[in-house]
Amino acid sequence: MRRLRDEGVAILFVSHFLEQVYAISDRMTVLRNGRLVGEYRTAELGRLELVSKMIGTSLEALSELDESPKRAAADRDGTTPFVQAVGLGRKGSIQPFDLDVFPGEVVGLAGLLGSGRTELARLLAGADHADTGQTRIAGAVARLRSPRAAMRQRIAFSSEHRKAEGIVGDLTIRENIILGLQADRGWARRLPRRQVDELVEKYIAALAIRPANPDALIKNLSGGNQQKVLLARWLATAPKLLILDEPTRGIDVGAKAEIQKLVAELANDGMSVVFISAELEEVLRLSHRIAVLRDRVKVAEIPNDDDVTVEDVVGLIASGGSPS
Amino acid sequence: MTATTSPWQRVLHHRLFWPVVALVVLLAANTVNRPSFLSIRVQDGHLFGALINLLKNGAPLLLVALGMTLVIATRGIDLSVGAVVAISGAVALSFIASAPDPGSITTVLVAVGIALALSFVLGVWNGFLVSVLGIQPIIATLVLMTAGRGVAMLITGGQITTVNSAPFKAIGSGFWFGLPVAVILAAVVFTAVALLTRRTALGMLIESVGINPEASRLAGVKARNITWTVYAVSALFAGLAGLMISSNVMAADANNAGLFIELDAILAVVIGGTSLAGGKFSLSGTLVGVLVIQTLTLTVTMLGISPSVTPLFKAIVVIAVCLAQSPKMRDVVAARRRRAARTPAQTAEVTA
Repeated sequence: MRRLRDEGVAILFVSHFLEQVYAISDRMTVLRNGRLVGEYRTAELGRLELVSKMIGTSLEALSELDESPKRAAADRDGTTPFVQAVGLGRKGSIQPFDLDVFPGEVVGLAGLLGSGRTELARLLAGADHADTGQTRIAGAVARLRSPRAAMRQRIAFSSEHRKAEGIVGDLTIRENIILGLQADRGWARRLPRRQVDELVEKYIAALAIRPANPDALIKNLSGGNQQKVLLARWLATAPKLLILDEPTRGIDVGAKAEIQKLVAELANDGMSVVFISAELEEVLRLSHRIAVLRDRVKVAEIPNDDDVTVEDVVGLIASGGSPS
Repeated sequence: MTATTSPWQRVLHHRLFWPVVALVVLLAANTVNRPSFLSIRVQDGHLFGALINLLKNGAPLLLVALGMTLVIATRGIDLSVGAVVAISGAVALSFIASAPDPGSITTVLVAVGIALALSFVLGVWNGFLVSVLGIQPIIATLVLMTAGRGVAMLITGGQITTVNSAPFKAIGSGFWFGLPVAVILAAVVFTAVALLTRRTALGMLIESVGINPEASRLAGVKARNITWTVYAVSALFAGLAGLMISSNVMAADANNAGLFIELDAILAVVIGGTSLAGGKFSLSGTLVGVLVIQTLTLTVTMLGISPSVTPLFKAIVVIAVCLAQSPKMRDVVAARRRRAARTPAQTAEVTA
């Protein structure tokens, strides 16, 4: 590419891999949510500044952020992690990583779009096959060959693509809520009608799903309510590990706050949660620990104590894990 | 237009309203043409009449259409059913013809067993291509659609195999309890499928796979197994239909048995309100669709129009159904109704 450049060819290089951008380009144009953020000379723009421009909060604004109450790391003396990933990886998807999630703990995944957050989650959820490494559930090696196998181990995974991989549009709220539980039971053992009604009623009330009509088609619901129905689907399977990939993207502020509150409550009750969000504030607010990803590598893992700020996490993303 | 609809409106908006209207119109046309059409008489303890014949001749199509409904519900299509019909008949008749005792019940049972087992295997092959190899259903089943008749030709040795076997003849033209055996078989299969899909969770899981395969897989549904199974079942039903058709004429015609039955079956499914895009399916809709098509074919013949023109009438039905189902057309009609309702305020009151 450099040779082409020297020969006078103009090259437009599109990537979210920071190192590639720095190695190849002379000038950078940053876009966010379909808007132009700015154009910069590569030599003049540090990685830290670039990342904050991509994420959309300037460094000054970040430091001014309200310090939300930090949560103490879960007390885990003598407990086994519910899930342990040991050297788990998939070629072309994510480099081998280690990750422990303890019962009652929220682990946040931070990183830019395409950094491997979703890929990591999919390996834990059995949605993709791992090439290397192993997963241990409560200390025992488990092979998660399919989402179904993961569900058997009480792992639930809510995909970031709500429409394509979450809702079953032409089915009703009721059917969408019980789908996971029914699939787990198998087709021959239909859930008794009374149990279905109890479950559906319980989750519509608990998550304030609107409309509160179980017969409404899920495709006609707002994004936030669709997300709540999907949460209900997973909660109905009584998971021990809940993996939420961008559960609050594209939904209104009210529903977002409700979902955040719910995640905190679930963890308090002993559920393990892996929480993925592009909004670092949200990750910091909810997580006990934060794993930082960059360019499909897990580069750092930090306990989320009182001193951690969004700025620190941005720094870790920018520096690739080395202390900045 | 309001939340509380009158019973009449509920009937009017039922998705089977227009198919049933079409069926009634066709039956009425036949009755006008020949008043004895609706009469059913008892002869030798058997029911006879044009309607009974209609049901008997429609039984194979119903079987094929039932399998097709399930396949279409998973977003697929099975073009090979006609070929399976031919193979099934060819296998059964060839076996009976070469058996030392064509008239024995055992021979016929074995022949039926072999034919159905082979049909099932062919369906498993289709399902393998679609669910495991991920080949598009229309292409995957096209393979067997074209190759299948060749296979049937091989089995019959290029001849139209004919046999004389009373027990086999009963499948297509015998009577049980006064009703044609074929009708009873089709009714049993219909009931079994209805119970199996609606009294268990199978129906919902099939619909879920048809609407969103990836979301279903992530929700733990065995999407692959379900897809695989519906193709196997579709071919099994086609095999049974093939036995009926060959038994009806006591001959296995590799070229013409079940010719274009896949198109009639698809048409019946679509008339019944199951969308080719997959998802929600209606078995009772398929039943109505089969009756409409069967009556339409009969009507054309009874009116003295050459049977070779029948496809034209079917085409008209297809166009009407597609128009009625197309979202664009519905929008246009709904917009017109709204406009009509808005201009004179009083009419709006009445229609609301």
